[in-house]
Amino acid sequence: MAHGVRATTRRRAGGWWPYAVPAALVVVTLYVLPLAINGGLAFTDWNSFHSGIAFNGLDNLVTLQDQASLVNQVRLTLVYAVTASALGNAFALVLALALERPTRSNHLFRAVFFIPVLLSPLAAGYVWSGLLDPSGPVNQVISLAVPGFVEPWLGNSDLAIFLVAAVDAWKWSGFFTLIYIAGLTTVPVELKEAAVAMGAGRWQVFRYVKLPFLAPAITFNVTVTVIGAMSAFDIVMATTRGGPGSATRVLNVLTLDQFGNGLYGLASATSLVVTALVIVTAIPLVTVLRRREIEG
Amino acid sequence: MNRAVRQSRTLEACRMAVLATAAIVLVGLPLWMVVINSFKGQAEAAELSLGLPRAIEAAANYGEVFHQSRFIAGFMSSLLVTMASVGALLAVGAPAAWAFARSRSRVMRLAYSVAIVGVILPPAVVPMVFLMRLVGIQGSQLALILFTLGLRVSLVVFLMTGFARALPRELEEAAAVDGASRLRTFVQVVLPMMSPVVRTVFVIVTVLTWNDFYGPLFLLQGDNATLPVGLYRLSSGIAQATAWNYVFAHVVLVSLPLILLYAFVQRRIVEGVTAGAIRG
Repeated sequence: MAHGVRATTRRRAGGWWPYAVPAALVVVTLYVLPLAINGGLAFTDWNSFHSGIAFNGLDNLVTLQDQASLVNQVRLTLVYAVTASALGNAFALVLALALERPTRSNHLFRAVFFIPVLLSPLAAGYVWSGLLDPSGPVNQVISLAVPGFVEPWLGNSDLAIFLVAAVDAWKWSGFFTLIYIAGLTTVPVELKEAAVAMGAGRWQVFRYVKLPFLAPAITFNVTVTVIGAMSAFDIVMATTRGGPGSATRVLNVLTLDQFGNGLYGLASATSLVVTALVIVTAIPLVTVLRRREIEG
Repeated sequence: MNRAVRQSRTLEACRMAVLATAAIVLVGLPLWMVVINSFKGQAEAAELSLGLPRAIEAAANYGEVFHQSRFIAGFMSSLLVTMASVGALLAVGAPAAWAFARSRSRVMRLAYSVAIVGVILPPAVVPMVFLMRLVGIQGSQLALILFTLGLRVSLVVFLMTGFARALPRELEEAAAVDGASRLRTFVQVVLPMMSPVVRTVFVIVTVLTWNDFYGPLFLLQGDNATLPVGLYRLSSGIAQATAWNYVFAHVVLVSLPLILLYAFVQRRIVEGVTAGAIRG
């Protein structure tokens, strides 16, 4: 009997395998395998100047710290990720609350704010390097009020990382707005009506009625923006290419620079740092946000 | 008219005014700057003004972009990579999603957890270059297609499995009772029911692949470049100041296909994307 049941289960599982095998093969050979190899290459001296590849322990991380101040670039990448996520989510949430009702004008606004999502991040970067150019429209408008005003925005090493992250937020917030709007539709109408009938103000309705139902959307949006921004690359390449100096040289740009110089081991090590960074931020982030969902 | 009504009307007018201003400043003007300066000569475009062109050089600019950045070759390369990747991803993703949604075996559940690991973790591009060199296809579109498959398969499986789990089982059971094989059930019963998520995933992955710059920059060589790489070369290839007229003309050309695609399929996509995100 027990044997029979197990055989049936096995047959059933076996019956499903042909459907999953192609996808599993793609995952294993084209994703997991390269990731695993990267974990090895990161600790080798592989480069384009000699043919052999040998393990060199932690030399790559030491070299990256000495020559490219790795710790500082990790910090920059985190500043970028937090800025892009905070700005993008704050704007998207406000926009979602303003566009919550499915009226015709609101549909139009949603579509307009979605346009940047369709632009390639590279193109979005060029749009904003034009807008923020020293002679560009932003300075033109400001100098109407402040004659002679010239700020090189993206050339300012203190501001550049925040501005580039803001471009990231601009590019994606239309998408996150739609996710928040979908979250708002899960709020039961009776609950809102009851709260209003009991004399709750706008803020209270938001805080105590809508916000708890928005928790899954917040989890999704915050996780996706933070993790996505860890791999920031295109927008930086189009706006500052890592500069001025190395003020916006986020980790993926550093990877390209090492790769371009033929230092493949160093490029792998940098890429491994990105992977590690995603793991150590994503896991606690998802855990904390999920826990809040249950409480909320 | 009582005071409450009047107050809510004022509030509504304010809301519309703020929204309209935000839409114009944040979306309208940036796009206007791009389009209008793509019509100007190089010297005039360098002023980056929002005014109308003194002389219209649109034909010259767009013509130059076509030649200088080998636009047609880039377009064909982008199209090839996008269509092949998206087609293959849907072909492997749909059956896997059904299997992951229906099988209760522990092995399959474990396989699913492995399959979606790429939703969160970034890809490893350097070893991919290494592997492609090993099999002798480094620099070709095939190399980029393989990279894209590995890069996106997790997202595709994740979105499609979420959808497949919510499908009613009754039709599949009825087909089984009628003696239909599993393959036949999949093709004739399950696939038609999955068409909404197929469309959603099609658009998401098309947008992501068409716009990708990181993968092609590492994996493609020379004439195989896709459009974003062409745009990057165009803007960084000019020695002195940026030739905004050409850069913006390229931005317009590279963005139009997706904006047109989106205009056609808009509503269904919005529903599909948001449903997946909230449920996931």
